Amino acid sequence: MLEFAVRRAGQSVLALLILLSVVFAVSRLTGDPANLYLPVTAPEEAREAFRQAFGLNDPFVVQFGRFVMGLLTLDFGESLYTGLPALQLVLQRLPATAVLAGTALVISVLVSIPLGLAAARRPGSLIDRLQQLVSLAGMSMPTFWLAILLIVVFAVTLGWLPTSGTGGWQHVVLPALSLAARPIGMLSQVARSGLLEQLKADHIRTAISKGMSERRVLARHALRNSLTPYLIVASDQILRLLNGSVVIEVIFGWPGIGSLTIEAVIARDFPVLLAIVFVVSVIIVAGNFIVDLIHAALDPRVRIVRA
Amino acid sequence: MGRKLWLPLVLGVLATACGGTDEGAGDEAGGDRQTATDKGPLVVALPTEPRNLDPGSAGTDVMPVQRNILEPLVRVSEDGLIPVLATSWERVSETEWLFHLQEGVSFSNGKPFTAEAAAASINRVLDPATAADVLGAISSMEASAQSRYELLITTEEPNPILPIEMYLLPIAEPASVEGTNRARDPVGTGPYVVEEWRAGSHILLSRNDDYWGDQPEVENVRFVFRSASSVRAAMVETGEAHIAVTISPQDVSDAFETAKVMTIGTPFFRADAVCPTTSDIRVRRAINQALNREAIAEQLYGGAATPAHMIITPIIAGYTDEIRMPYDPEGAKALVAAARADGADLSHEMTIMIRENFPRNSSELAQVMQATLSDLGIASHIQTMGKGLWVGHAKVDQIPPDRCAIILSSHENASRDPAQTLQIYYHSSAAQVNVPDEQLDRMIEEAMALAPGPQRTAAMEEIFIYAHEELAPLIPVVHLQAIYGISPDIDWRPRSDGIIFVKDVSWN
Repeated sequence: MLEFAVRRAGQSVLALLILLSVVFAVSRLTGDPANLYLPVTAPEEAREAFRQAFGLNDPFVVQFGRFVMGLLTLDFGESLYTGLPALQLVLQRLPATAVLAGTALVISVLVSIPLGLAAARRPGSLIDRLQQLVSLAGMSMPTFWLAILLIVVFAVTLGWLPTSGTGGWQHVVLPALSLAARPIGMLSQVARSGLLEQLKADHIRTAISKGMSERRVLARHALRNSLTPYLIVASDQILRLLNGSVVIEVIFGWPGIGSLTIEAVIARDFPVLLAIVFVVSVIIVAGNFIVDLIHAALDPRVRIVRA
Repeated sequence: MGRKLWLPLVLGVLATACGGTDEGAGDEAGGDRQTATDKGPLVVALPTEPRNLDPGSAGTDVMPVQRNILEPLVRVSEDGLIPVLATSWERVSETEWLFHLQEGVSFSNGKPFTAEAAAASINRVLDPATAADVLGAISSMEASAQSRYELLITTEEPNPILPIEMYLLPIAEPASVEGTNRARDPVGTGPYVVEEWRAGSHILLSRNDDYWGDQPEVENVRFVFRSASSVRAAMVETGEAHIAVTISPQDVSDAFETAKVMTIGTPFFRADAVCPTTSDIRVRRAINQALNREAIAEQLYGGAATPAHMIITPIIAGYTDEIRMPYDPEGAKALVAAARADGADLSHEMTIMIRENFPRNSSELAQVMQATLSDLGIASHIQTMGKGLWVGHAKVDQIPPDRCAIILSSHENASRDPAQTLQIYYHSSAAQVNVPDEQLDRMIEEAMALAPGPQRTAAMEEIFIYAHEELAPLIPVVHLQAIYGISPDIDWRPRSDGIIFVKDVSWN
């Protein structure tokens, strides 16, 4: 298990370095930041001064070298846009995204497991059809559209919740629901098919034929085994929550990493962009790593095959 | 667990996830609503967060907030120039202006407002090392203190409209804005100070209790940032915000008041005159005539725009009714046919270069242009790019000799004088001129030396008429209007330059 963990960690760090280098190179190909930062009417001297101030005149290799050195000390430089340290700017926004994504995750799990299991217990029933509907709608509805719909219904028409922004817990509800729609759709489907498969398995039939109560069969045999695919998909969905939060945060004016990403991309704020990529990929890589470990712990075959 | 227990459980969970929380939130949200109308902070929903609040930054993202904190010497308004931090000014020589400053004014940190402080603030913005974005819109000048309350501005060239330019140079306490153009907490003399700026969330301003002018009615103002127009509108509808800045026509509702105001933004196309297809003035004129501006204003902008005949708006000196761009597709075709008969080579395909979503609906405008060109028998394709690449194409010292581009741009002149317009789009020394012309250059240079007044206005009109008749360099599209959603709880009207002076807001 330890060897497996060490090897996975090594692979993760390497992937991270390659990713950051690619993003660094690509971000230099999309136009002069001085053109983006300054208005069209700004004179050349101002552009020159801007490039000088942020080292954009140096050769690519020098800029890359500076970037790598900074990376070692976790120094991504200052945001071109605001003058604040890039990493600090990103870390400040992290908790807001964590709250949003965490709430969405809790909602997804709390809704998807009971819904999926209920559907699997009675295939073809009303609850099964309801699950199919929720699943299909959740996965296929464009997130921004659902978000606007929720605002119109719950904030404007019913007046139960604030339209957007931050503040109390009630501000989290609409963005988290919008964000949870897709994972609910996906996960309830996985929970349903996972349990359906288990319920057909020989050992379940044996357990039932032994006269074991249905509850015990479900809880001790079927559920645990059907959890593995659920966990894999769920971990994937958690990482996708970070993705989805871009759209949601922008719509709801939620001050997280997602809205910062859009601001940084539009402004070509390279230092912030790289800091975001760094932080998000650390989360993703670490998340994958942890999921792998859990997976390995749950299923011994993973340890043997992968190690 | 028995079979039948599953359904209630699922419904129960669903209820907790949706219904339960919603119910609880009802009271809270209702409470919020009350505070919004209860003369709490004024809430303004902006489409974008300001980059910074530096006195060297202009633009619609920065100015609505910044101008409540920082004040200029002179304010440009509908009725001309209004003294703010300067009480009066005079031209003491061809290149020198003397401003008499308001005495006894302090910055919000208690330091006195003097000519020395004003000079330091102005000179910092003009220093290229600051990389201030207003630099392109103002001429070269240097400020110096003559006495405690006398500020001398020396310009490189004679500049009769200098007082207008001072509007673009709000004054900040020098120690609060050192370094490059990124100050986030500038200290000014204005009626409000920055109380809190939570990046991505809001900026809270509070009243400057030592303000030298009349105390404004609004105590605190919170600027929030919502990029979706429908959300900004929803915020005013639910009472969460008092002002929604620029909402789409489809988001207008009876639940709140709206005000439409002509902005300073005028989208226009510029066709390369080096390209054989558009080198013939008749072809450029034909494109102008074939463009259906009424339809663009009505269909594309939902009525929140008016057809533009010039790239300057009617409030700018030099705007004249003599220049009209009537929609005449048949006449346009005749012009093109005449050009062809004279041997014009219209076979070169045009590239319609646009910036992503700037101006508003840029890709739809490009499609209209493509259809317009196609009707005239001119082939074209659309190239969409980000701002960085677009600027590289739009702003070139020398247009490449083989380029065939029609570039969509937007002109914004906040000064009421066309000097800036002429320097950027008409004089051949500028980097965005497609049809250089010596006579036009001379006319511009002469007109720029005139003091504001009927003579200058007449000279400016002549310039635009000459350019229109002899050169046809630009294809103006529409003057954009902005729709503001306004809560019935306040009394306030928007301005064409987009600045929101919170001190002008009163509660109803």
